[in-house]
Amino acid sequence: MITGRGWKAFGVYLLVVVFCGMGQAWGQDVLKLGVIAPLSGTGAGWGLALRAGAELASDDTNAKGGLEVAGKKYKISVIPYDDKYQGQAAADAANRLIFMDKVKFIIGPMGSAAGLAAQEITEVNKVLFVGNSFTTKFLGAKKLYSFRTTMTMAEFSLPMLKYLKEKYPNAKRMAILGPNDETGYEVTGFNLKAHEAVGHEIVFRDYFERGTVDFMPILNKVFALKPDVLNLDGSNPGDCGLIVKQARQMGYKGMIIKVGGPGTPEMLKVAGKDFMEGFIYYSPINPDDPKIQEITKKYNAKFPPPMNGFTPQFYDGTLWLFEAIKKAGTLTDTEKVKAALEGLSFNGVYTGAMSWTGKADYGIDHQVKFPFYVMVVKDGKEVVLGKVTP
Amino acid sequence: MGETLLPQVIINGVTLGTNYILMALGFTLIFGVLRIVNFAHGEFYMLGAFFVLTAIIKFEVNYLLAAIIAVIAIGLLGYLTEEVIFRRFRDKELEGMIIALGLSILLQNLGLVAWGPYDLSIPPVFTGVLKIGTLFYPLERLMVVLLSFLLMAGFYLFLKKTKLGLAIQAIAQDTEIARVQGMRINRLYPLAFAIGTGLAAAAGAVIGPLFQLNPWMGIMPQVKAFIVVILGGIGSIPGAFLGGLILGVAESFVSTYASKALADLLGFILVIGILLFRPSGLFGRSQLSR
Amino acid sequence: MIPKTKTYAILALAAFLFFIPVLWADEFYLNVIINIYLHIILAVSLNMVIKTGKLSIAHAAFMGVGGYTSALTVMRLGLPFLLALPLSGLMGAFIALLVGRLLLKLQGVYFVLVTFAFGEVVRLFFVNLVEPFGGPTGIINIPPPRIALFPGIAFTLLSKVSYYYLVLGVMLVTLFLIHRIYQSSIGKAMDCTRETEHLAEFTGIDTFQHKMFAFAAGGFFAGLAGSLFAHYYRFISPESFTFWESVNLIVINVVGGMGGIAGPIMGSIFLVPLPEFLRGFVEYQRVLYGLILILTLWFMPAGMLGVLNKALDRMKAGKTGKEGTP
Repeated sequence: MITGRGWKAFGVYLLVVVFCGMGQAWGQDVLKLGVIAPLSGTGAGWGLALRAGAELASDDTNAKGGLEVAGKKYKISVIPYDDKYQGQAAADAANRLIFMDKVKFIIGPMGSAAGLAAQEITEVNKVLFVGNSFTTKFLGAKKLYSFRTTMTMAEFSLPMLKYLKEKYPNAKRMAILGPNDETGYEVTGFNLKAHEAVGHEIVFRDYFERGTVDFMPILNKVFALKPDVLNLDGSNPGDCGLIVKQARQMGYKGMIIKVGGPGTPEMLKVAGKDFMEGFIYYSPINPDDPKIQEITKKYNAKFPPPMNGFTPQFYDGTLWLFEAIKKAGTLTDTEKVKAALEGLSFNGVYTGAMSWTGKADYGIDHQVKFPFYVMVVKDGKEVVLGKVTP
Repeated sequence: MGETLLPQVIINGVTLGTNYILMALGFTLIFGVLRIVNFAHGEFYMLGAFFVLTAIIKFEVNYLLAAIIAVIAIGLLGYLTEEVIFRRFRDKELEGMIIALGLSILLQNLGLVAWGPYDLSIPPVFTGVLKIGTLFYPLERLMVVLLSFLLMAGFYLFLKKTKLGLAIQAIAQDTEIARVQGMRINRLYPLAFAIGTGLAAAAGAVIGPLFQLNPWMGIMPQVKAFIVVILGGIGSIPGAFLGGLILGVAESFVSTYASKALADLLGFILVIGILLFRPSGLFGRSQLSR
Repeated sequence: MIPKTKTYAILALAAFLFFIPVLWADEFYLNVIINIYLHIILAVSLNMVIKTGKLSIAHAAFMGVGGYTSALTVMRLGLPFLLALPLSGLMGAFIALLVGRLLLKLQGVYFVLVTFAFGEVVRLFFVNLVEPFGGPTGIINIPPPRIALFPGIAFTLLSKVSYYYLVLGVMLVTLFLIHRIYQSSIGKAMDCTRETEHLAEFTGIDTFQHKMFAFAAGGFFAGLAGSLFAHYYRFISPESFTFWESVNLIVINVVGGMGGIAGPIMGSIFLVPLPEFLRGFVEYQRVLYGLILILTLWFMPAGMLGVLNKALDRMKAGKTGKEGTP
C-alpha cells in the first residue's frame, strides 16, 4: 500500500540523487578522448588492448608537448568507460561521454552490439566513433561519423585464405568452429564465403555457447568428419587455447588455423608450445619488429601483461585520428575532422600503410586496409609465414 | 574414426558427468540438510581453484598438497559463512536464497578485484594422452575422474560409517527429533555447510588445471549442479551420482549428434519437465506439499 | 479513497515530475532518469507477483518478449507504435498465462528454480533463432516511436525530452493501476495468498487464480517496459534480458522493501543510478552491490520502506503521544 510518506520519500530521494552527480570541471587546453570498450567480463582482453592503445598513443603525444591544433598545444585526456561487451551498457557509456564529459571523439568499441547500440547516439550527435565494432552493420553510407581502424574477416579472410590455398593446396576439407555470440556469429559468414571462393570444402560448421570449457563433445563430432583444417574463426584467445589443447589431446593431427582476431600469446600459455606447433593465424603487425618490443615495454609498465596484438593497432588508429584533428585545425568541428580523416592515408608506427576502403562492401570508405602477416608458431615462437596485401 | 565415435562420446559423457557430480554432491548436501539454495556454490568452486593457483604460483607448493589445503581452507570458510551469514535464516528459505545470491555477487566481484578479468591457468599437472586403439583420453581427465571417484567414495563412507556423517543424515531427515536426541545443531549445520563447500572447492581444485580460471568460472558448474540435483532428487546422494552421469552423457550425445545449442537447452528443459511432472526427481522426497 | 492531503501531495509530485525536463534539460541526466522509470515499471510489476508469494526470476524474460514483439511488429508488420506498445504488454501477459498454468503450481524455492530455468530457455530461444530474433546480434535500427493521432498530426519521439514524457506517462499509468489493484479486494486476497494460503482457500479465495492474475499482469507490464526499452535504445539483443537482469529487479525489491509500491520505487531510485556514480571504480561497483544486498537482508529485512515506516511511526507516536498505526 502506498503511503503519503512513501511519496515524500520518493521526492527526497530524487532530489538527493540528482544533486549528487553534479559538477564537472572544464579543463583548459585539454582534448578529451573517450574510450568505450569491454573492461570486465568476456572480451576484457581485447577491451584492455583497445584502451591501452588509445592511452599509450595519448601518452606519447603528450610527452611531445601535446597535440598541436591551430597553433595551440592540447594535452590529451583519455576517459575510458566499460561497456561490458553489451549494447545497453555501451549506449549508457556513450550518453555519459557525450553529454556529461562533452567528448567529441570516441575510440571503440569491440563488440557488435556495443557498437550498434552506441552508434544510435554518436551518429545523431555527430561524434566521431573510431574503433573495431566487429560487425558489417557498423559501417554504412548513412553512418557518416563511424570509422573502423582494424580489419575484420570481411577484409582479410579472402586474401589470407587465398594465400593458404596456394601454399597448402592439399588442405581442402575445412571445419569451422565459432562462438555463439554476436562477434562469432557474423564473422563466420565471411570465413564461409572466403573458403568457398577459394575452393575449400566445408565439412563442418557450428557454434558453441560462451562459457563453454569442455569442447571434447563437439570436437568429437568435428573429427569424425576428417577435416584437413580446423578454423577457429572469431573465438576469443582463451577459448582458442582450450580448443587447441583438447583437439591435440584427442589426437588430431591436421592443421589448426585462426582466420580471426589475434591472441596467440594467451593461447600459448594455455595450450603449451607442443600443441601449438604449426598453428597458423592472422596478425596485423609483425611481432619481431623491434618497434613492437618498445611498445610492449611501455605496455607492461602500465597494464597487466601480456599485450594483445590489437594494442599497436589501436595505437596507430588513435594517432591517425590525432593527425586528422591536426589537419582539420579544429577540436570542435567534427565535420571538418571527419573530412580530414577521410582524405588522409596514414603510415602507422607499427602497422603498414593504412588507407581507406570499403565503398564496395559498405557503401562508404571508412574501413581501413593495410598489409598484414600470416604467422605460424614454430617451437613456441611466432614466425612470419608471409606478408599479404589485400 | 566413425566406429570409435560412439565409445568416445560415452567416455566424454562420463567425464563430463563426474565433473557435474562433484558439484552436485556439495549442493545437494547443503540443500538437503540446511534447506539453503546455495547460489554461491559456484563461487566456492572458483575459490578452490584460485587457492590452488595462488599456492602453486606464489608459494610454490606442490599441486596435490595445494589441493588438500584448498579444500580444508575453503571448508573452513564455509563453516564461518554458515555461522556468520546463514544462521539467521535457518528457517527462512527464500531469504536464505537471496542472501546466497548476494554472497555470490560479492565473491565473484571480489575475485575480479583480486585476480583481474583475464583467464589464468594452473600449470598442467598430468600431461600426456592415453591411447587405447583409436580412442584418445587425456591423462589429466583420467586423473579428474579418479580423484572425483575417490572423493565421492570418501564422502559416501563418511556419511554412512562415521558418527558425524550419521548425525548429518539425521538432521537432514528431521531436525526437531535430532535436536531432542541431543545433537548439537549449532555445530552440525555449519559443519554440513563446510563439507558442502569443501566438495565444491575440491571440484575446483581438481578441474581447475583442465580449463581456465576466471572469477566467473563458477557460474556454469553451478547451473549444472542445479540441473543435476533436481534431476536426481534434492537431498539424495545416489540421485546426484545418477543425475550427474545422465546429464553428462546426454549432453555429450546431443552435442555430438545434434548441435551444441540444443545440448545447452537440454538441461533447462529437463529441469522444467522434472519440476513440473516429477519434482522429487529420481530419488528425492516429494516436495510439492509444504 | 485516498485522503485529501495525500491527493495534494501526489498531484504536487506529479507536477514536479512533469517539469523535470525543463529544470534539468541535460541529456545525460534524462538518460539516467528514463532508466530509473523503466526499472520502476519493471520492479513494481514484479512486486505484484511477489505479493502473491511467488519470487520470480523470469521477469526479464517477459521484458524481452515485449521488446522483441514491439520491434518486430513495428519493423516487419508496419504496426504503429501506439498499437505495438499494448500488444507487447499483451504478449507478455499471454506467455505468462501460458506457462503460469504449469509453473505456478510449484512452491517456494522450487518456483524460483523453475522460473530461472524458464528465463534461460527464453533467452536461448532469442540467442539461437536468427530468424526472426536476429540471434546473438539482436535487432538494430529499431525506429523511434512514431505517434500519429490524426491524419496529418504525427510526430516522432526522437529526443530524450519527448521520450521522457512517454516513459513518465506509462510509468504513472502503471503505478496508478497497480496501486488500485493493491487497494482493492484483489490486493487483499493477494496478501492472504502469500501469508496463509490454506486459510485463504478456506475463506473462499481462489489462490491459484490470484497467482495467475498477478503473474499475467506482471508479464503485461514487463512487456510494456520491454517495448519502451527497445524503442529507446533502438537496439536489443538477448544480452539485455538475462538472469542477471531479473536478479537486479529482485534486488531492487529487496533493498527498497517489498511491503508496498513505494519500496521498489525507492529501490530503483537508489540502485539504478549507482553504476553511473561509481564509474571510476568499475570493479568495486559490483562488490558494493553484493554487499548492499547482504547488509539489507541482515539489518533492514523490510528494506528501505521498512526503515522509513518505522521512523515515521516513531515520529507519529512522538507527536501525538500514542502508537502510530502502520
